[in-house]
Amino acid sequence: MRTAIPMAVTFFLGIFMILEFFIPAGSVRTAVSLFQEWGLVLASAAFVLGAINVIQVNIPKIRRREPDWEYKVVLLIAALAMAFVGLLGGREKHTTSVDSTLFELSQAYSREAFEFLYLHVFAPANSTMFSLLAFFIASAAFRAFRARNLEASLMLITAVVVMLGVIPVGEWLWSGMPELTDWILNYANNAGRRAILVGAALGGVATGLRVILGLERSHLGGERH
Amino acid sequence: MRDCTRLRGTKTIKSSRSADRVIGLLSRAPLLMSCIISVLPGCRPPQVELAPPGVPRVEVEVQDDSERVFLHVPRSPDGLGERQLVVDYVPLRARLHASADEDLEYRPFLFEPSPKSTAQTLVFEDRSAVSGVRYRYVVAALASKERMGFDRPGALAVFSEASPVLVFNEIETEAASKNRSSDLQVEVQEAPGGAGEAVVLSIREEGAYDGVPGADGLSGSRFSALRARGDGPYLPFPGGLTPLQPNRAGCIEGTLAVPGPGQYRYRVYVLPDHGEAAVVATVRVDVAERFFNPKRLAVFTVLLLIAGFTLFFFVRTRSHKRSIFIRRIPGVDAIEEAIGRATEMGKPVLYVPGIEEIQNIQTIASLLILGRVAETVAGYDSELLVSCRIPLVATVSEEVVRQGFFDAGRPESHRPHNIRWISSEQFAFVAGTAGIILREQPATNIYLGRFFAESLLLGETGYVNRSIQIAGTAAIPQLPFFIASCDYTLIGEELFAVSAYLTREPRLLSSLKAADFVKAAALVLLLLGSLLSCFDPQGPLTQAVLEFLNVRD
Repeated sequence: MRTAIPMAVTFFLGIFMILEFFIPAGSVRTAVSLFQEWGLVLASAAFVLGAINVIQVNIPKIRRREPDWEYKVVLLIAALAMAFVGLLGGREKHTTSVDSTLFELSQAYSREAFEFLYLHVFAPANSTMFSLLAFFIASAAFRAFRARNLEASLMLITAVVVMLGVIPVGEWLWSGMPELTDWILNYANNAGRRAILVGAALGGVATGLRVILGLERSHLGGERH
Repeated sequence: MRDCTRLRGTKTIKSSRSADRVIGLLSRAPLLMSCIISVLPGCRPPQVELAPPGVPRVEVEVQDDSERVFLHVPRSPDGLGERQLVVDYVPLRARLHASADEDLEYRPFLFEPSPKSTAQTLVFEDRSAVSGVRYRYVVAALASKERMGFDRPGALAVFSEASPVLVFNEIETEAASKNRSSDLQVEVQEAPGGAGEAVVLSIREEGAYDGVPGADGLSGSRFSALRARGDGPYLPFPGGLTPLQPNRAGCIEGTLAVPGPGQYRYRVYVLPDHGEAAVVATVRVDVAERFFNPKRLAVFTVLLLIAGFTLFFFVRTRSHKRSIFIRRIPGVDAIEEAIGRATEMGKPVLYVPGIEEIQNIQTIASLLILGRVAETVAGYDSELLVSCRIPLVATVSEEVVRQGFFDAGRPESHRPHNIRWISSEQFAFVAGTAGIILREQPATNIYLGRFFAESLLLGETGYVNRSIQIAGTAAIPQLPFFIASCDYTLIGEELFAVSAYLTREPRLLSSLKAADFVKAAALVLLLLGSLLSCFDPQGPLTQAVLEFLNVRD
């Protein structure tokens, strides 16, 4: 019974969602919209669980003064501050006047504080993380392009051709370089890409069917016993 | 004495377990509440507000010297810039005659958005009104999730039938008009091969257009249309009021979404530069309710084939007691070795199930693998850290890991706090996970699922930490990054095969075999299509193959 009910629910809803993909009738679509609405509400509620998780993970580490516990304090204060100004300020912009009440003023200032924190603290930090990619690409490329064997040498040569083909120096060296690059990207590279795509799509369908039909039960547990 | 200690220890474990259970139940309260909220009709979120709150006023400004009329329309809070649920605002105009009790007929007219528009107010400029004639305006707000499919057949989305049009207040002003129309053929029919979701509207000039490119008989004319459902009134609809321009072949032919099966009437207007729009034609179409979308026949066939082959191989394996051969996947074999290494080093294993939502098939595949990994980790009595970007994925991961530890016979070793939700922001998640890698120094990092730009950031951080790294994704752009930075990479379909590969159970392996057979069939079909396209591109067999694969467009 412990696994039978989840399996039955998965089967019923899974088959229904598959049928909706093929049946355009209005009543089916209405029911699917309702299910999707339920899913959205559940996903939103899971954010509360996420917040509980953050507190559960970090508070004990602060209490035990584990290494780097100071960062956890910063994390919790930052999370609380953003949540506070976000909840108080809301989504909409507020205008203030001489007749504004204290609550309206606090709403307007919270909104401004939220925007300030988002634009001047979060966004630059986000960009910093993203910009690390430039350095990581260089280090990863350095390792990947070492000509250790035949396959790695072929990849190195192809990569050099493609890189030269997309910059003016490549055309200056040899006028056919851009055409060669295009050929590599459109035929050799595309053929590989499509082969992976077809395999992945069929693998995805097979996995979905395994779960819906109840062949895959590892997530429900109790297989061994 | 020893027994007492053991008893006290058991008591402590029992009390901590019951505390965990209480915390677990409390933490599930939001999920329970959300279930109740989503089921109760009274707790539904409010409907979309198409018009601004209160009595929406449309202000009219008339410039007598230039015969221009400006309509100032207050934007809806759910309009563009906020929730983006109101996709368009469209003004209609009716000419007033001497008789006060006549029925007004609102028609489209040529208008342009004015640069005077602000974030709160949208301004339309009516350049076709002429002084001396009285006009009455209404402005409609259209709410829909669909985007117009004109000139781009097939680019249709779901039509939101709820509250498609709402009329603001009516405004009167004075101007003049003149009519202009031409002899045009207007046709509307259900979109061929469609699913009762769209119609094709075509306008062509009789005689001037015979299908020859360049014969632009409609050159210089602009058209617009209103739609009525059943016996209802003619109303604007998304895409219909945008002036329809002839294509290079001199013909207007476009696909327009409809909200569902039923009878529709389209009234097509020609829009003059000055004066009132003239009715070109009123056409009718019956959109029948369909119970199968023929455009998805190929997908349906693939689905049936995989299901059929799975059943066939499963039955065959059980009846003949044969094992199904599956090739070796070094990346999967390395998972257990890497977990063993982590155990020997006394360091944890880090698992990242991608950064996509729970409904993504790669995330689902990753969570299935997570169960097996958790079981193996528990078997070695090692520690497993899971880092998640989506809260729902974190919740499900916690259950999956708990079950894995239970299946391994070590439920007491499971630490719920090791399954962490970091942040739903992509790079904040990367920063948090990189922090875990650098601070807690896991000996093994497993990245399986859907990844984006963070693939290289995580892979390189793990490389710096000298962890054994196993990655797998079906996201093709991220594969080179994983291959460059990780020790083993599962490419595309291998990700979906891991769960079956690890268990070697016939019922799971049979679905892999089925997918392989369908892949072989797809290969044959691709070769056939390529050969036919090369040697007989217009032949009936070629056309049938293209039709089946739905790749004609």
